[in-house]
Amino acid sequence: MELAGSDVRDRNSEESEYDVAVHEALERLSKLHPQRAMVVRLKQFGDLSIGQIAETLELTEGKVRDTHKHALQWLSQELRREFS
Amino acid sequence: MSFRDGMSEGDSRLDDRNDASRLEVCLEALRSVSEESIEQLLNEHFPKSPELRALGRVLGSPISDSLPTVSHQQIRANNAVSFGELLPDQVFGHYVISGTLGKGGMGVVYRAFDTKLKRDVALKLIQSSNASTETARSRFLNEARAVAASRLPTNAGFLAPAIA
Repeated sequence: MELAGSDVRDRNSEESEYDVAVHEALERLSKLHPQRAMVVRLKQFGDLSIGQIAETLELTEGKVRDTHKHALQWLSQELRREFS
Repeated sequence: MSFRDGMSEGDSRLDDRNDASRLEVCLEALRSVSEESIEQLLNEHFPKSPELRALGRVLGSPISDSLPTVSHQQIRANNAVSFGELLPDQVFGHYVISGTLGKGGMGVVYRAFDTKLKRDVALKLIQSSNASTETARSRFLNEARAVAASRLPTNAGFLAPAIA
């Protein structure tokens, strides 16, 4: 099904509003929990493996996995709160 | 009224953990889908949560997939140089730094643009304080020699080690 022009604009506008909120949440995460933010950036934007991140940050792989999960949890919570 | 109204604090924490788990699964799935299928996959995982779809979209963006999958060792070996902190837009060899992805005891990983290959890379550099030790010096020189000898594709280019 093709979207009409106004629907496409509405969807893009919605995407951009939420995307901005995600980037702002990432900034807040960097300030409040710098290590969590670093792990997320290295994994998601740097495409590094858990092992590579562990070596870079001198953490165990288990600690990296936990930190990544906590970061996703924090980000989800922040965004849920903002848009609830 | 929000779907969270009336939830106890315990319910809310459980829901946050579920969100994180679903997001983790979604991000893994996003790594293997085509660009056209991203929105469909996000909708399947978070049909009622545009904010979490956005989180998945940003974190699982194909831009991150475009970073070359050069090995950690290879990047480090190719760039075993002594340096200060690099700032966005600063030029380092044939890379233009676009931001810091992370830093730890041994080094810093930057997001950078490879001007020769015209693509983004994750560039890992050893900290100068670590480069000054004899062990680190030997390790990085050996890695650099191994890379040169094996003629591995130098995705991040080869820079002669210049450890202090």
